[in-house]
Amino acid sequence: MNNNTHVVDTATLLEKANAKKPFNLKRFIIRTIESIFVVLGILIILFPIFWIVVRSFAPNDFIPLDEWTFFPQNPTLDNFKAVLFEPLKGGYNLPRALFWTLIVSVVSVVLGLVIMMTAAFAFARLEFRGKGVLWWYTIITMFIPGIAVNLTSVFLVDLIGLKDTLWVLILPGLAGGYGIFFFRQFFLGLPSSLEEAAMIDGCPVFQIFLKIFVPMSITPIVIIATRMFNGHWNSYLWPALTIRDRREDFAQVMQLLAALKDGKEDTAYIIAATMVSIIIPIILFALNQKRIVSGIAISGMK
Amino acid sequence: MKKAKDTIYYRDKRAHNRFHYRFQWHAYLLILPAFIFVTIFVVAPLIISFVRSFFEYTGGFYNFPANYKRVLTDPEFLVTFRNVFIIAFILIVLMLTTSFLYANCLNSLDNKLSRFARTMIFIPFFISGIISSLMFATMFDSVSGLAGYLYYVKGVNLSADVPGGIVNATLAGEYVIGGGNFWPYFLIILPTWWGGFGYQALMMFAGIINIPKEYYEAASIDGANAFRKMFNITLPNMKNYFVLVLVNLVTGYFQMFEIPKMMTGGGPEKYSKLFNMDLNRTESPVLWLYSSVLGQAGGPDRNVAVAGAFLIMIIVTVANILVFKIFKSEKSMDS
Repeated sequence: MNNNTHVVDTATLLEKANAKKPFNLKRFIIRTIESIFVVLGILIILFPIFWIVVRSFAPNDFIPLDEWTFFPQNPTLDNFKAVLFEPLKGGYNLPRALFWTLIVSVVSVVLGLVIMMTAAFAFARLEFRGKGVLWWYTIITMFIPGIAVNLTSVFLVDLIGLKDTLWVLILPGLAGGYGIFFFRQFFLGLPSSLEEAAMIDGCPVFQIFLKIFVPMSITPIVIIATRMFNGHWNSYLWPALTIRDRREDFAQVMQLLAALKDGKEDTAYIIAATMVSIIIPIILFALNQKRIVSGIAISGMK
Repeated sequence: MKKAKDTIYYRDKRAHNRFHYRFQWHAYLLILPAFIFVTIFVVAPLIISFVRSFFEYTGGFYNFPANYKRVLTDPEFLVTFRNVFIIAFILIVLMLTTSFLYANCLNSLDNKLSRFARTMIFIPFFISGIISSLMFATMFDSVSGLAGYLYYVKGVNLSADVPGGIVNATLAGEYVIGGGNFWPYFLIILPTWWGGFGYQALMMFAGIINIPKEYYEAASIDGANAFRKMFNITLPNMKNYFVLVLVNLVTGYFQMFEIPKMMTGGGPEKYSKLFNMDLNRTESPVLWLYSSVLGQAGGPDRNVAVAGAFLIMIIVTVANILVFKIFKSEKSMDS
């Protein structure tokens, strides 16, 4: 009879690792099917992007229909020139939109990180009266869908006088229950030995925060910063609701693209503008893919 | 700022690893900015919205169920709900099955291809609904899009059941996918699926890799094949995961806005409607609610819209509760 105890020693492990698996037809077929499926997924996901990139080089004239080809016969940069250097329908200006969207996103990320990390630090490490209530207050707002809030926020923001400024795009995003939650979880997970050592050495609390917590938080910082930046870069509804009379100045990128479609701008220009606007999200992706993908895989949920 | 040596520390007995400092006023200072923003931009509008939903928009007098009644009896609103139920149902089934199967493949092929795929499929996560809609919309364009290519070069007529078909298309930007009742939904389902697939597949993947390998090894010893393993081990262990994913999907899909707006604009008057396609089938509730505010014709007035927003909130909450009840599991919230 087999006995069930596992005796593990290095020799056995090495043997197992080096042993070849016998060729198994069934397993091979399954692996092939799975590989095909995986590759198919990649192709389907990447195709629209590929489409945009390729078609943005196609000239804007009416295409002689029986000569349509996927890769343009006469690739041209005219679409890009038109979209970047000439005014678009509706008086919009793509480079300006890109610029201001970038500014709004960067400022939001910086301010947001400061506010969220300090608040999370307080919730994670400090004791104060009403802490529980305040925590619930911060958290519960995470679960409120935007529609209930947006319509009235527009009105409120008008009252305060922020309409049509850049601040109206930046400030609401700083109410980030999710970010505070995320950072607090992270801070709670940090061992307190470093702080104890610092406190014994007479380090004031705020310096502890700056010099110990912040450098150790690079991963959550990157994750939250990417999320916030993306959120602002891709925002359409809020700018459309609040930037109304100063569209030529402050319209954000998505707002502009939507307006191009509404105004029936030429398809080739829409494609070129989309391609230009996609560059920054793709850069963000490239910078972050390893961290975020492994972060999700490890933490399990957002 | 108090120096460390002036403060009395105590070890908080509730948390064995934590080191709580003594009651300090500057904690409030640290929280203040977050608190201010949350109050001004979330809590205050929420309360004001709630109050507004009870008042008439023109005239400003109190009229309790009026706004809610108007929303519930408005035929356009009901149509949007039918649309979103159908779309959400199809999307959820599609999304769950594709992401689960894909994650299984990623897990079982633990090689370079799998790792490469994991990063590639995540790209759409960074791309907004506006851009993905534009990508697909230009693909469906009857002249310069793939649809045009399929017809003019390959002779494939995707709108065969539409009188006149593609030949009537002279303006770019008109869709040529066939008319009838299903294709308008397809226009919405495809970009939404595309945008969410990578993220969901990775979520599933994260769930799958957390299942202890011993289960599978034991099953192998008992002679189970791959399908058995998938159904009898992976699925049950992912039950909690599915619930959380389902809640997220339901909450997200019921509020979809950008994709319907960009693909078709919603209802018939909003974009030129062609080819007998019932574009009314693509309008989503949130899109309808926002239509008056965004300057489109035919939407509700502000207070009615707010009432509608709360109704949607209630419906989403009810749907989520149903999901919980069906799966009989508890969501864990740590605080």
